[in-house]
Amino acid sequence: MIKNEREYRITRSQAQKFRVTLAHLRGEKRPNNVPPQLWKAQRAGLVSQLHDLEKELRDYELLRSGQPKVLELDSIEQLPQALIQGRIAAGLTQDQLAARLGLKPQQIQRYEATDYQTASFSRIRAVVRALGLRVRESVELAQKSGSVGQRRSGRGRTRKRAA
Amino acid sequence: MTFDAEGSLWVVGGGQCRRAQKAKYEGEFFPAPLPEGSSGKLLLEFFQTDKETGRAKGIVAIDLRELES
Repeated sequence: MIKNEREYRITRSQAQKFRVTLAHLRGEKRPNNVPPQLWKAQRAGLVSQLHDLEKELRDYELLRSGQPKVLELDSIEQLPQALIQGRIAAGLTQDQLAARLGLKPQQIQRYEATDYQTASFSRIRAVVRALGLRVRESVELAQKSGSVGQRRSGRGRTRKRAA
Repeated sequence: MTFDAEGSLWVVGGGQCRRAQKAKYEGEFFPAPLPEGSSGKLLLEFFQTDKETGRAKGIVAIDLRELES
């Protein structure tokens, strides 16, 4: 997932290199000592990776455009990613979000680099407020007959709405 | 270790087989039959670039041809 303009520029540059190499490969003749299957596999691998990069670029561009209004999450594990997406959709840089929270820019960079693993719950609430997000969650309760540990952790459904 | 078997994954199924490959082996093969060729150079540079900073990062290289012997 692309998190900021710098990563966007780096990814765009990488994608272009993949396109150039693929165009170059089209004109190359397979060496006799390379099996046809392997020659094709090489190209397929590059195409597949290029598709991944292009999808990341499209996702970032879409978020930045402000078009998505609601992010649907399957579990609370996806909340950190939604906070990052919420920042991008709000048109805020990491530095600007840090300023809103009275934090150093490096703190937000660290939070996002580690998917908010070290952030306290109160800090996460502050980030949600600073981004102007409205989060609605539904929690599926464990059934009496089963233990919580037997349930899949991803069952709880979380909905998150950007205001 | 043979590249052909992994290569066939790429050729047959694209993205779906990449996910299967990653799930089974916890890693992916990007076949580059000629490391010094255009795709070999591209992949080496790609995986050596830190996406967050754009700077070069260290990677561990294992020469599969040496493993076979």
